[in-house]
Amino acid sequence: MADVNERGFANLKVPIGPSHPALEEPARFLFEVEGEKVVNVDYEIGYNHRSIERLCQERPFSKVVYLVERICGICSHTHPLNHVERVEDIADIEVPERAKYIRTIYAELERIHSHMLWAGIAGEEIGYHTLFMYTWREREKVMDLFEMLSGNRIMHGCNRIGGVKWNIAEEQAKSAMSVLTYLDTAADKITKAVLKDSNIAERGKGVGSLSREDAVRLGAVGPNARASGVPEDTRVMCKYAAYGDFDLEPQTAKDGDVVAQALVRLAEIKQSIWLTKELFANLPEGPIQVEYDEIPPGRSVGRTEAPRGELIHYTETNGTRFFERIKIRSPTLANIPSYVPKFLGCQIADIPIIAASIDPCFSCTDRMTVIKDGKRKIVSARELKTGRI
Amino acid sequence: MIASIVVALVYAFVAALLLQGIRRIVVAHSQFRKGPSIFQAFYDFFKLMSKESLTPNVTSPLLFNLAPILSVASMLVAALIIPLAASTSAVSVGDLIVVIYLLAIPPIALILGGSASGSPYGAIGAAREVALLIAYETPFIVAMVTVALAAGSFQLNTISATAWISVLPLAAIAAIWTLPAAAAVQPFDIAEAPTEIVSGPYVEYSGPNLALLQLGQWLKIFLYASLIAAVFFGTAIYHFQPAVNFVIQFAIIVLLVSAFIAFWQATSGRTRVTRVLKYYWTVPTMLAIIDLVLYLAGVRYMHFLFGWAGL
Repeated sequence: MADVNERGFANLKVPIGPSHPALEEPARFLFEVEGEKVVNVDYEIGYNHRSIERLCQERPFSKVVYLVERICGICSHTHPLNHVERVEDIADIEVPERAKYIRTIYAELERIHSHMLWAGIAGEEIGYHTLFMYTWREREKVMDLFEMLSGNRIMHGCNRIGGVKWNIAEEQAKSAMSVLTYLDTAADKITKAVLKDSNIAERGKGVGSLSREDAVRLGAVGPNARASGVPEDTRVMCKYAAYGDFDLEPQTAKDGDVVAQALVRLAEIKQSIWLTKELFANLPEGPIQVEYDEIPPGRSVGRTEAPRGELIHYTETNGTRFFERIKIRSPTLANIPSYVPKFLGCQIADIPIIAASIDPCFSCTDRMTVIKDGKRKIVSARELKTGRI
Repeated sequence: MIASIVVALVYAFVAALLLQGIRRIVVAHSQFRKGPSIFQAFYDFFKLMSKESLTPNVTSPLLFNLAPILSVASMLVAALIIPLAASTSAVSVGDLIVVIYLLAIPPIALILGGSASGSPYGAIGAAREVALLIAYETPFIVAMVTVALAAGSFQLNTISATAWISVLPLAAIAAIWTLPAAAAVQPFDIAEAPTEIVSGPYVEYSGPNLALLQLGQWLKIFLYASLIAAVFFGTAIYHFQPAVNFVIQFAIIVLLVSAFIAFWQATSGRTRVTRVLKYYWTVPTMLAIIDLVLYLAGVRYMHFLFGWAGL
């Protein structure tokens, strides 16, 4: 798009990021605005490259689980879960049923607190501090639950190859049930607030909407795709961990706007609370861990449903104590292209809430930066294919 | 006369900063927080005053540095004209018209400073401040003019001899309704909007300049509420001994600020610029105009309803 509009005025260029109050993590957006309307947008990621994949190749197996856990502070269970499942797939380790259930409990609790965190941040982005305070207060209950189960609020250290580390005692399950019942009413309250509040309706209805076609074309995943009516849920499709034992319905909405995103996530909170209760009630007896000898050479690729969407891990072993290669595709990377149709034509006032609506996690996303002659360079798809960078 | 000027200025300064502390505590409590100390605004102000003021490489350094001074200076003049604790103004010049103009200067200073800062955020913030100013000034001015017509004078001493809320309640509602926009808090903090435009006009300010710009805004909130208290609750305040007057007046201001600024701030998100105009030019402006028309037509409805014709 030209720098000068049809009336002959240069459009104002508003940079958002790499460091900006609307973004929790570094990413750069350059908006071209006409008055308050956004007419063009460019984005750039890669400010938070931490070389995790490379580090994974330099550690023995047992330590990589903990490193993978530290990719993201919120998805601190689903990353190691996917990772250990890949290794177990390569080594043909049969995980005990009880371990699978415990893994699923952590995964669902993680989804509850992640979605509550999103609701709070979305409120903060539209200046609704009270919503933020309220949802984060309720989220604290989930964190306490984590602390009770694993001893840690964020880094649970639960997964290990061949099972889980922390068992769940009878009393723990009982007190977890009462917390979940409380959270159920809290989730109902938040849903009611989102549905009824005129302020949220004004700032969210029709804002940042993504059509079903665009969602499919741009490869959106997770709640972002489901809010546009794509019934895609890795838990249902792949039936990893203990998800095969339960009948889950992907939660979808039609409009793809901010309110639809909120409703999908709130419905998922309710669904996860129900599922966690079922898991606690049907927790099978037995060991939580099996021994394994060594990991043979092999490769495995698999998907799990992180709170933000489909997470892909590719793992390759070579028969030594080290990994040959680990490749991680986090859900935010798949969701970033859907920013463009969401931003075009929106108001400046809507930028923060749209940016937050896909629940971005840039530090999980950044995998590669190319620096040549001291200048950062954007690599095109063709260059990547031909390998001439 | 000198003594009363000094008293009015010191009182306005202390009360304006204290009011911010109270507002923040009310907001904090409605968000399940404890909130900062009631003297937080004092700490912030004196801390910023002790720091260095940076002037960015801007288009107009003079305008940029003048804006904060303009903001505070206009508010100090307004503090002398608006009857505060005493029943009369500290100075004998100036009237309602002057006060309305003076109260518009801190936003104008923000617009000047924001435009002069050379930052795109400042420019957008300035544009939003213009929209906000014309949105809430309209019902406010209509309400104030209605009162002035009814009182037959623009002199605040004459106007505050009656509690006009008992005669012109719709105009009073319209004027009180503009409080949150004048205070520029949620839902009307559109010109600052930290998550959108990084505090807009404030973005390039630092040190004493920032302190003065904020002081201007804080003084404006206090004086705006005092003006509404003086005009609409006149005799209810200036009926008694000066010490009692002072307590009643400050209580009314705190109530206005808690109920109409802090409560709104706690229960709403930020609105959009376009919505602000629609919001203020419909219901509040209509209410004020209804009172104006009814008064001009000679309809004294409060008299019919309650047998009052002013206290």
